Order: sequence, then structure tokens, then C-alpha cells
Amino acid sequence: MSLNNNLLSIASRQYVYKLKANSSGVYSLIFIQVLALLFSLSGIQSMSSVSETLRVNVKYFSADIIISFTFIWIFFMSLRLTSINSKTMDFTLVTNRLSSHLSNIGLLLTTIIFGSISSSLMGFVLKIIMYFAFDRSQIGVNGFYPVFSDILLGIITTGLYMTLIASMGYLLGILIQIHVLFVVLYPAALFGLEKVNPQMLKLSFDFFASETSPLLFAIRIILSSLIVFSLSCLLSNRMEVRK
Amino acid sequence: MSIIGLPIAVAILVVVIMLARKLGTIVVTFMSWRKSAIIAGVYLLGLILSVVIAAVLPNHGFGLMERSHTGGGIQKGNVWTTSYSIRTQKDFESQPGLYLNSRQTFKIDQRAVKLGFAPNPGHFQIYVEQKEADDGKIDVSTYSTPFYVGETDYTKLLQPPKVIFQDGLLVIEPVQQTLTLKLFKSNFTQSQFEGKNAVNLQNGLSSSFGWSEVLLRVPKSMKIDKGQNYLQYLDKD
Amino acid sequence: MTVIQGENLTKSYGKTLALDNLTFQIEENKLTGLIGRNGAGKTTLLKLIAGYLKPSRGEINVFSHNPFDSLQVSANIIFIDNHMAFPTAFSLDDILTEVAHYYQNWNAKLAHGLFDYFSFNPKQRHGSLSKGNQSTFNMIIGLAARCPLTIFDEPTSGMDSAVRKDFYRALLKDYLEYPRTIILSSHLLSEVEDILEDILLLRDGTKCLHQSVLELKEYALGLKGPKQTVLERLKGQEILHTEEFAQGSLYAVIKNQGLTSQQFLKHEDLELLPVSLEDLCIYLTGNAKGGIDHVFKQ
Repeated sequence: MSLNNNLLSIASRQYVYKLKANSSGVYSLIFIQVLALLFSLSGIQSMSSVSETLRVNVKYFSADIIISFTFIWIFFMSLRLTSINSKTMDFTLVTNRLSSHLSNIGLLLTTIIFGSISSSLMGFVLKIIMYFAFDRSQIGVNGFYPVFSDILLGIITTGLYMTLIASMGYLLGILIQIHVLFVVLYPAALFGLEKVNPQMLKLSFDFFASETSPLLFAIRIILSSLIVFSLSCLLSNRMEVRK
Repeated sequence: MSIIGLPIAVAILVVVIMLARKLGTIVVTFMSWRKSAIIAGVYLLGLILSVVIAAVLPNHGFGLMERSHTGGGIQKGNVWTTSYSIRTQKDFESQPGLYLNSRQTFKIDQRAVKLGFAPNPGHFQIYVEQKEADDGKIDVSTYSTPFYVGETDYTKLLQPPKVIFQDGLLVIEPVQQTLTLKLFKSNFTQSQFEGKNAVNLQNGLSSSFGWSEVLLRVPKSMKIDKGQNYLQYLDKD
Repeated sequence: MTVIQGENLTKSYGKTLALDNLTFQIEENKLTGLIGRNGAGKTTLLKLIAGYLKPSRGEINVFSHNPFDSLQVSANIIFIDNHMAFPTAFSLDDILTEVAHYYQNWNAKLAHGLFDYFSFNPKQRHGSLSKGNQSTFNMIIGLAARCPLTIFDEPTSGMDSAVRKDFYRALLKDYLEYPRTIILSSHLLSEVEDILEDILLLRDGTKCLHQSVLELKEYALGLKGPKQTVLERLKGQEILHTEEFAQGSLYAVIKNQGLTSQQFLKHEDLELLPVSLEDLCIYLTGNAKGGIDHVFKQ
């Protein structure tokens, strides 16, 4: 009986295995990002106002749609990692629950890095398309050229949001494993909360979205994600597999 | 995306992602993970390249080169109240809310001493200043009050009203103008730290319209028939 | 050394009792057959050993650890059944490469040898294999992993008889070359009795018997003869099974308790028949009502 099978070495082996196994996720990501890019070409916000002599049509362009799509994509990615099928795949080979979670989280973090970089940079593809395809005299140069620090900040923030969303998806997946009814209960609970106390949701949303200090924001997201991920681990700790 | 449209958008997206996942599982049956990894790498490289391309694209051709004025220049401030305090042409020049967008000079016959206005559809605030001397020239300057979209000042894009002088009549015609602006907004993940996320999303869209104001400088002895217009005479210095 | 030890092991699914107070132990480097009828609790027991399930009561120890959620145990076990799942992104070739990282005793030569022998297409996906081929492929992994504890749960389901024979042969050869603890569950005892060393027979979630194959072959005697004679002769013996034939003849199986065949052969009407292991297990695990014949008698 060998003793050199510590948690981290197994988890990292699982991580590499899962990274390869889930590499096909890149197709769905590219698909939805390109789709979002097409949507973005018509602008994310538009406004027009008219006076006697002047009619102004303003369209705003950004990678917001691309980023939002990527958010939802990561939610489903993390949800999928908790499915029975992927559990079975884990328990076909060497694993325990914790190493399975650790490798899943590792995979999610890698996916998040990829997703946050690609979604943030996709905005430049949008700009290049606009540069060549649109009447340039109508385009505001302001914000066209990349500013490295802004890009970096954008990528990090996107990644942090994705981490939080992934942790929520993961928790939902675990809850569904505990009882299928959670598919309905999860949104119902949110909806009920909204009805009972509309401020709650807005407050928790603002807790993240209105934080203007990058450091505080990062701390809030990282702590919350950690809590949610550990909750997932705890909840699934006693669960039987491959019944 | 507005808050109301969000659930619908999410619902549609869920379907789209399901489809995309289906696509993924179909693709995966004839793609090895190595190919997928290569495609992922190529995709990422392509995106990084797009940043480089965007950085080196020449900036000529952009219609809206204007940078937002922060401090100095034209300010969004309360032009309306300050414009009442205009007493001289110098005030006009120094009035921070006004942008000079055209200046024309018409020579007049020395003997003609009367100036009339053609009936015009636009209602302009017309200021009149009488010059020290009879130099036989009418100077017409048109100004615009600030025109903002969001935080950016696009006053310079506004076309001045058309000013024609013939047969002793001054014709000031507004120019019908349609502006199409395509503006870049920073992603919400970035703008969050500029403190303009979600909470005041709508504020960023407000725009103030530019209005035209006209300043006439006329020879000392010229008589003016103001017609339907309201004229405001500036004090002589 | 005892590899697996179960103490009063009970597992219930709701009100259904799958395992009932099972106490047993399996020694190191034995090839044990886990035999039982459908629903006897074979798979449940194996999943308890693998740590997939938690016992409702009682205790199980594998390599002196509780296998549930134990990385240590998991690293030393491979569980082969036809529910093994592999990522769709992997071709069969990829799977062999990737799985190798998990098992330090992995024998790549054996894996590829068997892979070629059964002429698999390296580019095919696990999910697109037929059921029999999936079983064959899983078996390759189970053998090549050379885990200290290798569990095969109905490994031959879907395989054709040629492949089954090859599999048993490969199992035996690899076991001899690299002895380890192997548990093989099957309901086709006739096919596996030649390779097994021990048999653990389950009946309705309880241990029916746990003996070596050699002992088990001596376990029972079969007698055939006129009904009256047979019944008279067998008075006082433990009758495991009786079966009536035409013309008043009766076949009875009794537990062999130090009896010699000579004692029976004196009676010329009686015919002494060997009892196959498979039949014996059926008799032992059968319900007392007299088998399928009973249904037709009414």
C-alpha cells in the first residue's frame, strides 16, 4: 500500500485530467462570445433626442454584453461540474470528495482566467470591426485606444465577478444533487426574498457592484466566494456517489 | 441592458448556452482535447493581437476627436443664468459657456443705414452691440451653448446657423442637423471603479442641447428694425 | 494480512435492506468470487468496500481505513463495472494515457497489449462503444492498473463468450504474475470457478458461506434413485435440494458431513452424482419453496 498519495498531488492530477476533459468548453465559450459580439455591434445603449434643429442619435458600445454572456456561461460550467456524470467520472478513478472539489475549483479558476481575458479583450475586436465597417466620422475616438492599466483592471474585475458567479453555480449544483427540488427552490427563494424585502437583493447586489475601491471589492468577492465554495464542500461531504 | 429586460435576456441566454453546449458535445466527438487546447490558445492569441491592432490603428478619420473638457473650456455650468449678465462683447468672449462657431463680416453701403431681419423660423437670442464708429461693416458672430453627451462635450460638432445679408436684410436660418454618435463606454467591470456603475447608469446618458446665440456688431449710426426678434443691446464700453 | 474487514455491515435503501449484518473478511492476495443471485447485495457490498456508499450500521475497513471518502483507500482500489464514465473529450487512446497517471503500478505494456489484442480503435470514444466492448475496455483498465485491491463488478456483462474466456484467462495470468487482492462478482459461477480461490456467497444480504473453492467442491453430494429409497437413505442428513423426475425418481443434494461415497454405493438403486458449484450455489441461495417446479405443481 502506497503512502505517497497526498491530497494535493491527487487533486493536481485530477485538475490536469479535468482540464483536458473539459477543453471542449472552449467551443461553447467562443460560440457565445462571438454571438455576443454580433449583438454588441448594434450598441449596448442608444439614446436619441430631438429639438427644432438638432436630432441626436447616440449609441454606446462596450463589451458589456460579451462579459454578461460569459458570466452566464461560467455559471453553467460550474453547474455542470457538479453533475452526477462528472461525479461518476471522478469516482471512476482515484479521488475523494475534497480532492474532487479542489480540482473542480482549480478548473473553474483556469476557466475564469480564460473567460475574463477573452471577454475583456473581445471588446477590441468589436472596436476594430467598427473602425473598418462603420463611418468613422461618427465614432468617438475617446476610449478606442487600449490603456493597459484599464484592461488589466477590467480583466481582474471580470474574473472576480466570474469567481463569485461560479461559486453560486457550484452551490446550486450541489443543492440539486442533495434534492432535485432545489432547481425550483433556489430561484423561488430569491423571488420570495425580493417580495418580502426588496432592499435585500439590491443591497447584496450593491455590496459588490457599488464598491468603488478595487481592493475592497476584491476582498469582498474573494471572501464571499470562499464561503460559498466551502459551503458546497461541507454540504456534499457526506453524500454517497455512484448509487 | 435595463434591469427589467435582464430576466428575459437571461432566459434567452440559457437556451443559447444549452445549444452551445450541445454544439460542444458534438464538436468534441471529432476533436481531441489537444485540438481544443490549440484552438483555445489561438483564440486567446487572436484576441491579444486584436488589442495590438487596435493600438496601432491610425487615429485619422475619427469624427469625434474631442476630448471631454474637464475644468477650463466650455463647462456644463449654468449658462442660462450667466448669459443675462453679458454686458459687452468682451463678456461674450470670456463667457465660459459659449463657443464661437462662426464669424462673418458683411460690408454695407455707407448710405444704407437701416438693417432689417428676414422672417425666420428659428428663434435666436440676438445680441446687438453698436460700434464706436461707422465703418460700414456688420460683424455677425454665432455662438453655441454647450452640447454634452454624457460627460463629453461635442459643442464643436454643432453647425452654426446660416447667416446671409442681402438687400439690407439679415437672414439667420437655423441648420437642420442630425448627429449620429457612436461612443465607446468602458465595460461595467471597469467603470465600477470610476463610481458610475449601475447606480447612476441613466445619468451618463443625459445630454444638454446646444443653443445658438448670435452677436451682431453694427456701425454706430445704423438703425435696426427688429421685426419679430427680441434684441438685447449690449452696453457700450 | 486482512485487506477487507466487515463487521455487522448493514445497508438499507429506505425500507429495503440490501445488506443485513454481514461480517466477513478478505485476505490479502486472494482472488475471491462474490457470488449471489440478483439483488443479493453484491454490488452494494462492493460499493461499500470502494467507499462510494456509507454503511447504515456496522463497520467496514479496507486497508485498516474507513473507505468512505478516503483518498488513501481510493488510491489503492480500482472499481470496474459497466458504469465507469470517461470524458467524451478523450479517445480510448487518451484514456489509457490519462488514467495511467493515477495508478503507480500501471502497466502500460499490458494495457496496450490487451488493447491491440481486442482490436480497439484508438480514436473511438468510450461512450460510442458497444456494451460488451465497454466492459472489455474497462477490464483492460482494471487489469493494467494493478491496484492492490481490484474489484470487478459483473465485468463480463455484454461480452461474448470468446471475449469472456479471454478475459478470465488474462485475469488469471496477470494475477499469477502480479498477485493482488481481487474481488470478482459474477452470477456465472461455472465460468469463473476455475480461476477463483475463495467464494463469498451472499443470500438476501447475508453471508451464506465463505470458503475456498476446493472446500466448496466437497461441500455437497448428489444422489439419484427411486424416491422412497432416497428418502429413507437420507434420513438424518441435511438435504439442500430435492428435485423429482419422472417415474418416481428423486434427485437430492445433501451436505457432505464426513460421508464417504462408499456408504451410499452399497445401495444399488442409488446413483451418486457430482454437484457442480453453480448448482450448489443455486441450491444454497434458493428459496425453500422448492424452486421453479413448485410454481408449476399447483
